[in-house]
Amino acid sequence: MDQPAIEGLYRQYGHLVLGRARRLVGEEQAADALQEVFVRVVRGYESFRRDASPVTWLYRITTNYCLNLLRDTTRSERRVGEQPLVMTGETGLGGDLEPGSPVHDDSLPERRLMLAHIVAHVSEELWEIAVYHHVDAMSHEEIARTMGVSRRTIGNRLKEFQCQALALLQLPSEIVA
Amino acid sequence: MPGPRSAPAPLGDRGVRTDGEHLSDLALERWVAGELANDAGAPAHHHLARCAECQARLRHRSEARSTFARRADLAALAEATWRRAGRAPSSRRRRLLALGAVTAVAGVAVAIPTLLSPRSGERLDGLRAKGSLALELFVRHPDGAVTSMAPDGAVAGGDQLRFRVVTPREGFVAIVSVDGAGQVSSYLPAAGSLPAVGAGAHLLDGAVELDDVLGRERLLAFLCAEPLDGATVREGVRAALKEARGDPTQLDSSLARLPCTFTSFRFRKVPRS
Repeated sequence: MDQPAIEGLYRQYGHLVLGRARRLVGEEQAADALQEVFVRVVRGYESFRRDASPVTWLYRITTNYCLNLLRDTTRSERRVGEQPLVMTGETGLGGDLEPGSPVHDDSLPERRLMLAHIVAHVSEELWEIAVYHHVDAMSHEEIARTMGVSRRTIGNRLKEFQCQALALLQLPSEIVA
Repeated sequence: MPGPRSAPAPLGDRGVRTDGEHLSDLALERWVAGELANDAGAPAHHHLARCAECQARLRHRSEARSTFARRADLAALAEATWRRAGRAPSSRRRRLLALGAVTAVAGVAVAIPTLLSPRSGERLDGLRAKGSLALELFVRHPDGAVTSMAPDGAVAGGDQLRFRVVTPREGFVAIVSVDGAGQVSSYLPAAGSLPAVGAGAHLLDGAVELDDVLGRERLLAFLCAEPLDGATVREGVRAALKEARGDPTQLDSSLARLPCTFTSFRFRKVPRS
């Protein structure tokens, strides 16, 4: 790919990647995440171009990159927030101030730390599914189509994630909505 | 701007969020990108026609796209990305390299020599291992094009894979495959003891030509403290797969019994278009 073509990709999809990265890893790391994701797009351009939904392809790459960043950050810093994290169906990590979105949440840094703690200890597939469900409020059907697996698999994985997350957070099950 | 070769994937249950009332962020982004302009987007179109909140969210995303394109230094971003991506192997760096013996991996693929090789052990500025093992895949297509594969990327029978690992310390490496049919195969080594590597980036000898079995495949790269036999690692994966009742996504806890750290890479084998 040449630079003008890459510039065109940024023009079309840059906002999507940057916005998602901000939501998952915060402003400080989002700019670097933006470039890293597009490096992957350029290197894997054949796969990107062949995919039925480049947006979904980018969404997943960005999600996985950011969650790996959280995991690596957690392992190096080994910090866990003291505030308990309640995983609900709301888009609890906040993000863009857009119509219909939650008001900016002061507990966001602690929530990110708790998410990072969980991310560090569960498998990639589980936390990817968990983010789509608990952060993005995607339905089981949409998650299944996004990841190319069955809806039943998504249901099973979410149950498994809940068990592992509860064990990691040491929260009584009745706290989780 | 190149678009997808095939029709956009349908929206499923309209991409409706778990609260049952609104479109998901992903669905809105696909709308902004024009992926839902045909019949597949009819459910979203119907919802947007009657939901003021989703209309507002759609406007916000469209504005975000315009704002980014207007304010970001796209040329600088593109140049920086081009430079970083350009450190990956490309056809311009291809040179003849005599490799080890051809080895057959029964029932799955055939390992063959490849013409592609950067310097072994080179440091990668664009790849951050951050103290953990990393696996990168390169694909040589039948038309000769060489690309780096992204996670969950698509490949087809006849494509050739080559592996590069980034290791945080010295050790012994292995690569094992679990395909959609539950078959476990050793890609590296095909036989014998695990090869030794130092800390850093290593393009591993040999390549694998994919067969025509379709579906998802999970590659597991191991970095072991001991020079295990390849069969030991392969049997360890088989045992873990059995404990996971045949689910390749649930191996991780059982694999911890091997004296190795590991990372994985998933991809899809699709029909050649």
